[in-house]
Amino acid sequence: MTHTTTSSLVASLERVSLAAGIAVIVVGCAVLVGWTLDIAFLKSILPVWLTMKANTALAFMLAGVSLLLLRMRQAGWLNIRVGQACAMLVVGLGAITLCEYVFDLDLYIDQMLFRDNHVTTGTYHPGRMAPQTALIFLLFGVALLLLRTETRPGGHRPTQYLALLVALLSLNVLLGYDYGVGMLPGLFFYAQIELHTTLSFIVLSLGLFLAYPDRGLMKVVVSDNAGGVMARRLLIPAIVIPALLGGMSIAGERAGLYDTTFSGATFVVADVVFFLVLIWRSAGLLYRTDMERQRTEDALRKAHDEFEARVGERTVELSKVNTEMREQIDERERMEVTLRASERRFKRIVEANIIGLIFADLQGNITGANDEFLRIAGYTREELIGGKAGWADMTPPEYRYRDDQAVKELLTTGVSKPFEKEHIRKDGSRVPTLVGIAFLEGSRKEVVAFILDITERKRAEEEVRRLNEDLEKKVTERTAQLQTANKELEAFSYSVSHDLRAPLRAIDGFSRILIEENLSQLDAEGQRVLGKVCRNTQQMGQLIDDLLDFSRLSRKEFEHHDVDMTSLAMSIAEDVKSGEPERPVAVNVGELPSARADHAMIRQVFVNLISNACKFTRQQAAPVIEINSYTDNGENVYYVRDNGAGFDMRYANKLFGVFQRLHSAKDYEGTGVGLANVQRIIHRHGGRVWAEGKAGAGATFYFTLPQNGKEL
Amino acid sequence: MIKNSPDEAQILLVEDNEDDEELTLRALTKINLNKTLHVARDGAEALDYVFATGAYSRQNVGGNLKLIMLDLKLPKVDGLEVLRRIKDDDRTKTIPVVMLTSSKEEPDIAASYKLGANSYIVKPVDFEGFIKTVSELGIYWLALNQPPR
Repeated sequence: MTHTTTSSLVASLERVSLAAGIAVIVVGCAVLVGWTLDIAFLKSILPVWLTMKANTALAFMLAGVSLLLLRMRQAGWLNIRVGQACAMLVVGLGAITLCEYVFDLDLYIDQMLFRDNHVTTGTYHPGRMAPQTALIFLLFGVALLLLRTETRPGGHRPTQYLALLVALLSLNVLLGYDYGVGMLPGLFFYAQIELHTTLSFIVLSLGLFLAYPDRGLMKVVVSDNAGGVMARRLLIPAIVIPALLGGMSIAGERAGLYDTTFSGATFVVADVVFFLVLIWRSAGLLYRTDMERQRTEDALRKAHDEFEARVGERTVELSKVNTEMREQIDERERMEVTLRASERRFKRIVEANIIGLIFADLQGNITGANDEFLRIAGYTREELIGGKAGWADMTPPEYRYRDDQAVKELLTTGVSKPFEKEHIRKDGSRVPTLVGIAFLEGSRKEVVAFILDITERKRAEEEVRRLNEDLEKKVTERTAQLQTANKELEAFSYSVSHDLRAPLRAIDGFSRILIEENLSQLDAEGQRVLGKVCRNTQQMGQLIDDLLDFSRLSRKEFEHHDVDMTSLAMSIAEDVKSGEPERPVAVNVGELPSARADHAMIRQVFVNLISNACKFTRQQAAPVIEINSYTDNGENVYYVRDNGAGFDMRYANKLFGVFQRLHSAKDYEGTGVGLANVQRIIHRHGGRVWAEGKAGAGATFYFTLPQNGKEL
Repeated sequence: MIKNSPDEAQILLVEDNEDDEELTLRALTKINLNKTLHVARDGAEALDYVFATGAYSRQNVGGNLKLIMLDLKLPKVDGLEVLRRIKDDDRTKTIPVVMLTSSKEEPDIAASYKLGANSYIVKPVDFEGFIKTVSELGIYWLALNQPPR
């Protein structure tokens, strides 16, 4: 059962209603024509039949017109008014005629159109329609007036009930004709209604009943559901079958085929059989339909359940998706916040204008620049972005290769390390810059370049260079001065060594000659004094020698040898010992690591230290000198230890000073230059020298030297 | 002051210091070599004596010299120049030249040997040492040493 079936059914029924309206108008018109032209056929169809009265025909026409107008769903205001006026006229005709019958009056409407000469059976008034007809028209008029009315609750249409009532009354009359009886018992007025009038009533009532076939009672009939099906299946047979069976039974009875009892029984049985079959089939149909419906319902429920489940699942999914989306939105918002912060930072970097910044492509076409770059380049932003000056235009030819190198580096690593170049400003002047270039993120075309103005730095560098030059010049001058001074000092030393000695030698020599050759002429005092002269002369000679040694040390060129310290110490110890063969000095030389040093100078160090040790153990009955070494912190420390006079540590700082002596010349001869020489030599080697001792308990002299194999 | 005839001298002492001259003489006297000594007071005189020029033009070049004791610091022509001239000349370069000087300076020593000095002696300051050194020198070069001629 589909909707289209319903709507097509409704459309067909509407067409039936339309046809019914037209039919009664045609009938009305035909009868009026018959009256006008006095054509009996048109008035009564069969001569035996009563004529249809003119008023009846008029009422049919009015009713038909009213039906046609009022049944239109989208009827205009005028249509409705005209339709309702026609209906009122019908009501009026019916009502006046009834009044005439009830109050036995003649209101002169019966023959207002035509004069009725016919003598009609059952009526005493010429041209007046039968009272039943008047009543029915009255009902029709009311039904027409109510045609568009529908009760609010229930959706009942009063017209349909009235039409049904009229149709039943008319059917009864019709059946009376059909069954050949003038009048059914108890209904007095049937005989007075003409057959064509009755048929027209039925047609008109059908038209009214079906005027709105989808409303009121008809709603059930045209509906898609089981009720509609049953109604459509049973309604027609319920009317037609009893009528046919009744007719047949009466006909058979009349023909004398069977008696009344038989016909009644037969009629009932036939009726029962027909309806049994009909109901049975309908019930079967309903059963199947219902089963189908149940199955459909089950399927539907199942589908619904599935749908529900899927909706549930979907809801869960959706809420999950929703949560995810919420998270994504939150994430997006956080990112946006970060992005905004990042943008602010970026803006700050660009607009801080501490360093020049441009955006450009690899060909050097500038797409953006900050104020600092504009200051450096001297162009306006419009000139740069407008392509008036590109990177290449601002680069002096001699710096092009640097740009090329930078681009090469950029293409391999994405970044070029800062390099120095110069920029040609708009006014043609040049500005030294430090430039670094990097690809913008994710781009192999667009770059950002950082340009730092290094004018100040260059100026400072120039200043430093100039100062250095000055300094170098000064150093050269000073060196020359020093060399001169050195030469003078050499000359002085030479003079000292040469010229100071000669007079000394003369003093000493002639004093000796005096002692040797003229001793007898001198008294004891004279001889003692002369002796002092000689000793002082020798002392002075020694002083001059030591002083010369000392001054020579600072001038002497350095020579580096791998010095075998052990054998050097041993040979010197032997020399020193042989100087005083009568003394039992024990010298123990350990395994000394060799050193990278000037052999002659180290020799002098050992000579000084060992002879000192020898000298200061003179009071010791069993003098022992130990020469050894140890390693401390990667340094070779050599030492010479004796068990002699020692010294007071309070004066240790004086030990290495020139002409500084801790002992009297009477006890231990010496000029006080030896240890000064030792210190000077060790210092010149980059080593350190120090001493430890205790008065009367010996002394130890330490010195360090670079290890063999290491350059000084 | 003892002066020998130029041709007899076997030792030439080049010395500007009179004291040193006297002390040297004393030392040589002790070993009886004082008779064969000639003293030149400066470098120019020494060269004249050796090459028989100037005041000494009468004698032969190189004379009879068996030893020249040469000081470094001399008036007019200094000791190293004198040494160079003697050692540069084929006639004189075989004469032993002993540098007798107060200088202990390494450059002096090196320069002297480079120019062909036969020995380098630093004059001791003390008298005994001086006497001993000069006597030994005299004995060595005049008695022990065998010259080429």
